[in-house]
Amino acid sequence: MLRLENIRPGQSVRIVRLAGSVAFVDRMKEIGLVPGTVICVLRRSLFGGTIQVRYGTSTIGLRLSHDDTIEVEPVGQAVIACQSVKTLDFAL
Amino acid sequence: MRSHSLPHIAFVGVPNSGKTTLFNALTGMRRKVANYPGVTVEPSVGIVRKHARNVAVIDLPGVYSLSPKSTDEEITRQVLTGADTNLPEPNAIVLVLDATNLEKGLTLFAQLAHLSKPMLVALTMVDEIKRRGATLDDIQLESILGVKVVPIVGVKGIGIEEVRSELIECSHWRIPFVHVPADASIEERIAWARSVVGRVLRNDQLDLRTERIDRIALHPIWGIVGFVCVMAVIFQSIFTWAQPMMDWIDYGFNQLRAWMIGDAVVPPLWLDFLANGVIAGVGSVLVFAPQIFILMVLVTFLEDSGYLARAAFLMDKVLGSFGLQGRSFIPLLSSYACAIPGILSARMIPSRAERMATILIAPLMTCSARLPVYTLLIAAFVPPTLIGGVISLQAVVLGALYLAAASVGLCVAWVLRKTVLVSDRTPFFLEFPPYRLPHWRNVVVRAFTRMQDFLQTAGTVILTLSIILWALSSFPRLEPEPTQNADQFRRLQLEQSYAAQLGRAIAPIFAPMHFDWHVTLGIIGSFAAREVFVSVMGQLYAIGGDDPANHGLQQALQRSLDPAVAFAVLAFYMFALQCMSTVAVLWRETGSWAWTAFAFAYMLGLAYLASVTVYNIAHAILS
Repeated sequence: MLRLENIRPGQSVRIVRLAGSVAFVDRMKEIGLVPGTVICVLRRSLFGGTIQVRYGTSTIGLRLSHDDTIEVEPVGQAVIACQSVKTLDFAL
Repeated sequence: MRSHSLPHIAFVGVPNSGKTTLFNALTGMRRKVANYPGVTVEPSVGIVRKHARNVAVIDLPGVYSLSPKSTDEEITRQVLTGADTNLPEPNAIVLVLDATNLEKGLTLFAQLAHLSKPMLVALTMVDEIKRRGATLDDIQLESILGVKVVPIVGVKGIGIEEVRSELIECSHWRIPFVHVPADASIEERIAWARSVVGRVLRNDQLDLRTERIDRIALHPIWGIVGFVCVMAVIFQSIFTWAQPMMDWIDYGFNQLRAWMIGDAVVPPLWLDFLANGVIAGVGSVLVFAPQIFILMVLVTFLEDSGYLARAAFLMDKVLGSFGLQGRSFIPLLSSYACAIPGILSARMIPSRAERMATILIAPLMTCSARLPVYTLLIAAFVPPTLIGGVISLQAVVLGALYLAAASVGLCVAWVLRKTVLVSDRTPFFLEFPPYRLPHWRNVVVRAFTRMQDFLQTAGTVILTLSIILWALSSFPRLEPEPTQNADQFRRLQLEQSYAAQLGRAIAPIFAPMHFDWHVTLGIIGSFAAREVFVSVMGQLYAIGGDDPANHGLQQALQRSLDPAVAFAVLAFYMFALQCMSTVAVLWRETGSWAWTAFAFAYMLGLAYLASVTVYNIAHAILS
């Protein structure tokens, strides 16, 4: 299973499962990171660790750890999240 | 204001929804400082007035849900259900809904609807959504939610007056529809919120401007360059821009005192109390106001503009490994100028544990008040030998003091987060709001209210403590003899004072590092402000003045102080929390005397340990 923190920036993935403490899982769900949601990894912070992701119209920074993580699967080309970023490359 | 008899309306919303901005626009300066024990991000209460009618509005912390996982959610839930003893149960609720972040706000709405309270939805950032070319059907939204929706165009303030008119008519508001059962899972609430977003929001696109700026602001190289520049401006502003204002305040109060006392060698007691107790105390509170105001203006500006989240993201990994987070950077950096504004700015850290850890180590950052002490002792006891012909030994020692204190501070944060501050295990995440130009009114109002809060609450404590310090050093009173000049008399008065007696009494505790009562008296005097150490030394050696570059004072210290003791004093000042203003602010911001006592005790412990170690090492080397 892929973990979100290991996904290369620029790639889109779909959330399969949230793993970790109840506080972590519930909080992630409350902000809309429920299984099935497609997310795009935008960047990593300096020295790694914290990642910037986009889903829907939200952009957030996440610090995942060994215990608290988001398990993801790759999505086919047809999917949207990062597509807007790619269109952006033309726009910029 | 008899606010308890007024209708109370609670403002609820997810973090960054523009809730506080709306609250400030509605209430302006008409608010009271809510003294809320136990927490730092307390609800603040303001008064909204229209047509000579008043309502009380409560600004609650931003939350994503009402399930109590964090302190903020706990407070919000308690206030909304009337379980809070400090505030009356609100009669109605305003949900502040961010049009650019609808899904999260609607997920919260699904829970709020179960409270069955009259509700109004204030829809913020409508201009932002239009700018992106999207359309939001607020009529449709109104019919889905079952309550009135008032769109607000932030920068121009359109809609604010409508909200104000609605607030005083809150008894007529409708109760929202319940769409999702009370025991629904989070997934069900999200699914409902997404379906609503799909119905009311058309053609929402990525914010190109924000993405463009992010490409630079979060760039591995340019991002860091930008970050360093922004932080340099912040540091510069509180270090040097605030300085002239602080000097004026200092000068003004000193002139006032000098004028009151005139040329009397011994002023009458009442005059002494007024001038050196009260006026000096008020001066020592007000002197912090410029720094606090300037820092708060800058921090609010960064927060509202959206950059703060980016700065926090850049620094997160580094500070995260010490149990802090990206947002801890500004409070810690500011503490190098002064811990007071630094600690106050820590309120922008949302998680309690990380906020507490930041506050508790902020006083370990080397503040500018330590500099006169360092300069005096280093100039007197460290030879200006050049190392490798480049850098003087004095500069190396000074640098080492700064570096060691910061490293110890970070280690303390790490230990605290592993031991006493683990309970609050909220996961770290940051919202990246779109970049916006902040509204000056919100920036100024927020900075002003923080300054006001400091003056009223922490200021009272500082004033009380400074009067106690005055009394300790002015009693028992002596009568001057005609042969004495003012310097000699002040020295005698100080030597006989309760402060000196206290200094002598505690000197045995400091026997392991051989602090004599002169030094312990200096340490006691430092509670007023650390640089007072220099003027106490000046008085004790009857030299007068408070200039650390004074050669007479340096020579007097060289004659009477063992160099090993001098180094031990330096080590002590690195860590000890001997600053009553910081103590007062710690109490205010942690909301607890227990945490304040803990901070004081651990820093004293560190200081003691460090100075004994340094004394023994220095003694072994030098003798």
